[in-house]
Amino acid sequence: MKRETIYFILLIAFSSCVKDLALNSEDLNSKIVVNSIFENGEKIELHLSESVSVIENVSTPVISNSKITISNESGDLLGESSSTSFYLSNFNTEAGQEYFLNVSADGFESVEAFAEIPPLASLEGIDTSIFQTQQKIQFDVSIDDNPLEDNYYSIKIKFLSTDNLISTNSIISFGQKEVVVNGEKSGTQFFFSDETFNGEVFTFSGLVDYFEPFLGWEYYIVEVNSLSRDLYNYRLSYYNYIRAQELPFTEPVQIYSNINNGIGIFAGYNVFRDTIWVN
Amino acid sequence: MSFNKFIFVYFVCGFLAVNGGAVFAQNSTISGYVKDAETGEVLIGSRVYSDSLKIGCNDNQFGFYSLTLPNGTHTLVYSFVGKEPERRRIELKESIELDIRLKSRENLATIEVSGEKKSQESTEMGTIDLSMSKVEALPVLFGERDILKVAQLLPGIQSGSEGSNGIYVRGGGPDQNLILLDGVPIYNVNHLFGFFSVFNEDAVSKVKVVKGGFPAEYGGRISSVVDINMIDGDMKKLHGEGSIGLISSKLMLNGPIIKDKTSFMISGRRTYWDLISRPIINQMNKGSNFKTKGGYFFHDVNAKINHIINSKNRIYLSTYLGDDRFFLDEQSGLSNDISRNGGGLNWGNKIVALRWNHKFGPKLFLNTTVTHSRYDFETGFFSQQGNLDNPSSKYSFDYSSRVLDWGGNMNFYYYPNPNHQIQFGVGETYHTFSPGASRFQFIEDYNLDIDLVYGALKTYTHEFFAYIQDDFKINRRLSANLGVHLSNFYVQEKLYNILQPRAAFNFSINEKSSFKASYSRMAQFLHLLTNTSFGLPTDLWVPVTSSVPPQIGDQVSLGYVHELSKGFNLNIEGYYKTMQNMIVYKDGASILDFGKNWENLIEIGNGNSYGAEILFEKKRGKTTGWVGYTLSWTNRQFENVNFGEKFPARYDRRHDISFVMTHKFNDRLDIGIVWVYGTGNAITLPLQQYETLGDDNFPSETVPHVVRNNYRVPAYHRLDLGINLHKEKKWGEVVWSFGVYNAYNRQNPYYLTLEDEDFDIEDLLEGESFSFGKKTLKQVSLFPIIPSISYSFKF
Repeated sequence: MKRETIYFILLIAFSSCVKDLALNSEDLNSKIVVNSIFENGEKIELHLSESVSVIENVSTPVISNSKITISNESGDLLGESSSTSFYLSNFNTEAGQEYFLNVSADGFESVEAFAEIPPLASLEGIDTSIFQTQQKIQFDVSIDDNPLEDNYYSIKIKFLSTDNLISTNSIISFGQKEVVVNGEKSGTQFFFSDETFNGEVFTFSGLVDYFEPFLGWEYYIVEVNSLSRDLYNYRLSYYNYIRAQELPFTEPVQIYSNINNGIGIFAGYNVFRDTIWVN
Repeated sequence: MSFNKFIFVYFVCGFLAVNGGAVFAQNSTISGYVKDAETGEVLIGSRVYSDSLKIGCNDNQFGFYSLTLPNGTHTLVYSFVGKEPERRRIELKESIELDIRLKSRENLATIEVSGEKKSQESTEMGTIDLSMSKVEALPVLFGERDILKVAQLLPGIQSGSEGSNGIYVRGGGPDQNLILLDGVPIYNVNHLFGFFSVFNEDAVSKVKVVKGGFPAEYGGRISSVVDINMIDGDMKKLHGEGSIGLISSKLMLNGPIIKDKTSFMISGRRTYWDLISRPIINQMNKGSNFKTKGGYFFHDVNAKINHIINSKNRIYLSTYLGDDRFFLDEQSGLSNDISRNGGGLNWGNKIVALRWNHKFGPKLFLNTTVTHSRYDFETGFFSQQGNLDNPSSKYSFDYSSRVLDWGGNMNFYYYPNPNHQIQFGVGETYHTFSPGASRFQFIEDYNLDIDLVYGALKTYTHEFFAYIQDDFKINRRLSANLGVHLSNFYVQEKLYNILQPRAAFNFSINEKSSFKASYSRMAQFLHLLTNTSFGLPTDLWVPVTSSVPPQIGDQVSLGYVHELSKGFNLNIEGYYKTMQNMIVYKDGASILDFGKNWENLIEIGNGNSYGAEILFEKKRGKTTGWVGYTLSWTNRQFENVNFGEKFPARYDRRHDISFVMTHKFNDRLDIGIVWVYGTGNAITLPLQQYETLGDDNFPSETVPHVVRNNYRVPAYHRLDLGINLHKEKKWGEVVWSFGVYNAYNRQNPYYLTLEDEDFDIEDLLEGESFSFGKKTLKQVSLFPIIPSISYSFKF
């Protein structure tokens, strides 16, 4: 008996300090995931899927038994679809128009979202300076900010090469003239809000790699995007998430969602594209 | 009338009233110190009371009392917990000085007269005096007694993770506690990654914890004050005590340098895991190309000298020096082809305080303190190849943080008459913050290729305060403590001024019970930037700057106190607290985000906390202890965290229960029992994953669905048992202490992790299904049942 008691005590004392925990069933309930980012003047593309528990090693299934409706601020139905996981609207979007999304599917809580496409950025002009020795080209993009609105921008610079392939250049460095821009360089874009220069003309300077013209018809495309606040938050949080994967000891990142009762993004943007020929 | 004017008029009128009364009445003042008859040390918290006039006072934190009475004959009772009360018949014709020496009681259990300050008579709220006798009898982890672990057993004070010393008071963070050792703030109170506090219980005489209703004398933190006093040292004869435990050993000596004039106390403690493990590691290294050196230890020293210059002047010099060191150095290979990797982690506090007590007269007492405090944290790692002395390649990373303070303050205690106790003072601290300097070096082929230093900028700040408070009786039933604390903080050419009103009221229902109410505003000019992703002590102390505002806490509380028979006391308090301008790391921020100043890595937001606390305590008799229960809610809200939605704080704990009991069978045997229960912490645990849109608006990547602090870990509960065997010796006393921590071996959560599911090949062969890549949620626990034994002695 004495020996058994000792064995019992040792068993308890050195028993494993790791044990499995069961998740509550409500924690495992899937949600509707909406993915839709649309451009002014284009049709709305919307992809539906469901979230899955993190403990499962399965691809996220699409939702095909859904009912999707999109209406305007007056409640007029603009488009609807049933039993599909991919929806393409039969109307084109317009800046300033509000879009209300409702998605329902058996076995899921219905979700709602709202989106509005912001007006086009008011561009004052785009100047370029080539630094031959450094093989860099600088784009100075001047925007006249609307003082009556909270505006959110992103700038992207693309390069069309001689073999007819478009590549997106990373903005190697960036700066601002005259006013300070609080922004974030994420991936190939620079994101910023008008928080510090509301109502002023400001100039964004972006430096990218420069390639000598080979056949004399290379060009760059400068995209100045006006983002809705939701899209701005989504993009920033997404790039923040990607960046956090590369650093140790990072805080968790929440990717922005504007889907009530669900997850995902339903947001619009407006884009100004300018082609800069280099020859 | 503005609030500021009201405060000014109140204090001017009050000052004239209390002094006018003193001029025209035929009163005299009796003043002095209440001391221990055996040691000559002052007894802080003793009570002086006139039964016939029903008026009295308590001594201040230096043992000085002053009581103004009408001229005539009075019988005064001097009392202190654990001491025989002394009655003195005094013929008062003029102001006199009278030092009283109280003897120890012969039989504590049979005497019902308490010498403690009566809570129902005091305006203090949310305040608990922890006597060291409470600490000594309780069972503890590894047999190491710890005052902060005992404080965690009180309602409204919560522990952090398993075994840690972090205290979370009424929803506040660990940075919001002003922890004072002899009046000097301690920045990091942790040894051994938080499992032990820096306070060596042998060197401590008294601990006062304030959770709410803060008197105006306190400032600088918004959630609590833990005021710890070191032992002054016996003025009569040499004493010592020490212990040998599983983790550490310690020794404390105190006694007179000049009898009844000058005394000292010195106490030291050290762990010895590193010493024990060294021969084992050396043995493992023998005959191997792979050599390891490593270890961990902490040590600390408390020392104090106090000297009575004359009846009006006394000085104290106290110091604390403590360090934690962890190091690891591994080598493999031979001669010129050696691979060497290592790292280390050091942190420690050093403080010095010089105090001067001066008695201007029977009614006015001054304490002047000059302080120096330094907190250092350093960590780093390195890797090198080649010859040990001239490596062909080497890289190293070092990270350091420091807070350096020089300060001084003057506190006046003025006792114009028995109805007023006025305290006022000023102070200034010069802080130098060096938060988070990183150095990265890379050497290849004997050339220094990279040597980068980030974040080495220092911030210099001045923190000034002034306060005044009056604890006074309005009538027979109602008393109040009104005060105001003004703080100035100068940083980066910006001056913050924050006026902090304080008010506390006590309405006596009868001699045994009272209602209490309080309001206090507190300001804090420091932040602790805490990384939530791992538990090393890399928290950064950072100052308020021109762009990071001070934290401000507002708290209202209501309470009821009832002294029951047979030593039982009931204390119920409810509170509501708001906290402004708290900081957290931004989503995705990392302490290793080189090139970014800490100010660019934070979000600023607010928090609140509300709840109720019940403390049912038995203070006297053979069986003592308490049951504490806290019901609380604690939330945080930051504009750019959790999409701006409110979320529960990590240590939001709905229910927190503690049961603490000690029983003294006789002089040779006593036992202690502690049981605690707490709702599980709220952690961020992604439970769902989903597909998201990439750069080109196409579904691209499966990402976790993160919601801040969305998951509750399982509840925490634990039972500890302890037994102390005392044996008298000719030279003193020895105590054998046996304890069991976590007696029923509860697997409490330390952290949770998602890991790939284990599989058994035999199960697979038997046809059981298994999905590769499937994960399971695992709970990692830290401490199973842990027995302990320690030997201690006193002489």
